[in-house]
Amino acid sequence: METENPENQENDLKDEKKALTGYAKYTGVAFQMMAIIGLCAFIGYKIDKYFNHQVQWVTALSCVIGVCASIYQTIRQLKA
Amino acid sequence: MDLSHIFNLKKTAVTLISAVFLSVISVNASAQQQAEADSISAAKVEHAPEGEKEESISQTILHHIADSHEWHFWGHDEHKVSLPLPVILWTNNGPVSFLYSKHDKDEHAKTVFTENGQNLVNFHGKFFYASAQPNAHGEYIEVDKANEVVNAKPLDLSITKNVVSLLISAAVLLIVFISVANAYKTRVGKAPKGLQSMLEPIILFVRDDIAKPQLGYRYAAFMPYLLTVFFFVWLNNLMGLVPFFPGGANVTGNIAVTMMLAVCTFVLTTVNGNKNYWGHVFKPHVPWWLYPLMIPVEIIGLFTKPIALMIRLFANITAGHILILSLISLIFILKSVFVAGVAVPFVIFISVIELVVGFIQAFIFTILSALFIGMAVEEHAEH
Repeated sequence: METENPENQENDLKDEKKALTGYAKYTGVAFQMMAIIGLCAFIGYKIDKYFNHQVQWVTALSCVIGVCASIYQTIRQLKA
Repeated sequence: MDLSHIFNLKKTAVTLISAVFLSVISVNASAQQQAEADSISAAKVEHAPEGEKEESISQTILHHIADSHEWHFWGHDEHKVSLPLPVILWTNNGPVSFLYSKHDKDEHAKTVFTENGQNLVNFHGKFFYASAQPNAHGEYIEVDKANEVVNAKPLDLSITKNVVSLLISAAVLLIVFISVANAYKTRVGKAPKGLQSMLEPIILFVRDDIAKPQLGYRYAAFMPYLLTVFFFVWLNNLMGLVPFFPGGANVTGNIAVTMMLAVCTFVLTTVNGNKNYWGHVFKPHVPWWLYPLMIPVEIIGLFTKPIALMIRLFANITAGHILILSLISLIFILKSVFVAGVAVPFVIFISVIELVVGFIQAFIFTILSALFIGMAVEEHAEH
């Protein structure tokens, strides 16, 4: 006697595919956070260089913004 | 076809295969390998002074993963056997081209040669305009504090090792896929045969597991790109693992190559982005007074996705190459042939893992490209 019906099987398959997509998506999160923080730091560094700042406060500020932005991006990706 | 079991399979199969390899090789072949390694390490250790050795090993590793003007087979210095590749330089006097073997004797910028009225030097495989006077080390270049060469450089458009490798893999892909396409044309309604039956499951895997879940009913338009990227990355990953000609070039571990692949994905997402996608960027769901902060963040977010793609592929493949070379180098660092009994099985173990990594990275690059394109063309964004 067959206990599994086709609907259940289909759902299982869907769940597996979702897991696969999730796997691919979340492997990217770390690199994306890194890229955002890196990009922000780079922009801040260039601004400091351009204005010849003694204390590189723009770099520091842009790094903090980068960290916040990366967390925001991550949360948005988790929700989607 | 569903290939998600590969991820479950990875651990068990790789452990199994490598366990078998480990036991067989460390018992049967270690004597032979040690004899081989003996002669190599003896040769290398003898003419490397104590202090410089570790540095020379890391240089050798970096040299192996870098691009080059020649395809090195074996031996070094005067006993070198390699395939010289054409060098094409765009100098101030117009184009100059010669085979690399013509000027490969001195790679330390100590001899100046003249091509098309230009004085050039070869410094570690890169060509620079020669300085008028040699520096303290007898090199015709100027070096700044950070050990960077300050001399001007002609524009290098050479057919390098990576370029040749790219052309070879492009040719292989064209030959294989044109023959498969023809097979589909001539064998309509019949079962697949030969190459066609080998590739059909993989093509269907890209369609059913990558394109359809991410792109929905629009998948057909992006299939050519996704299939091309998948097979291109996969083939180049595998070719990079072949230790001899025509493999061994670190193509997908070159950040310029992965950058161009990521740029293709970026262009596709940007061109295909719909109202919804751009709405997310320029009208994010936050209070209006956060707009000056959030809009730049969203714009940066557009670029970080392809940058993440670029870095991931580059880092994974380069790390694999460095790992394998480092394990081999252990024999020369520890100066003992018996290390080979451990190092060589480990290299085989890592190589088997790299075969899986080659597939997984191609898969991840493709699925993320599909995901990003899918986000751009999606009609009703979920909240």
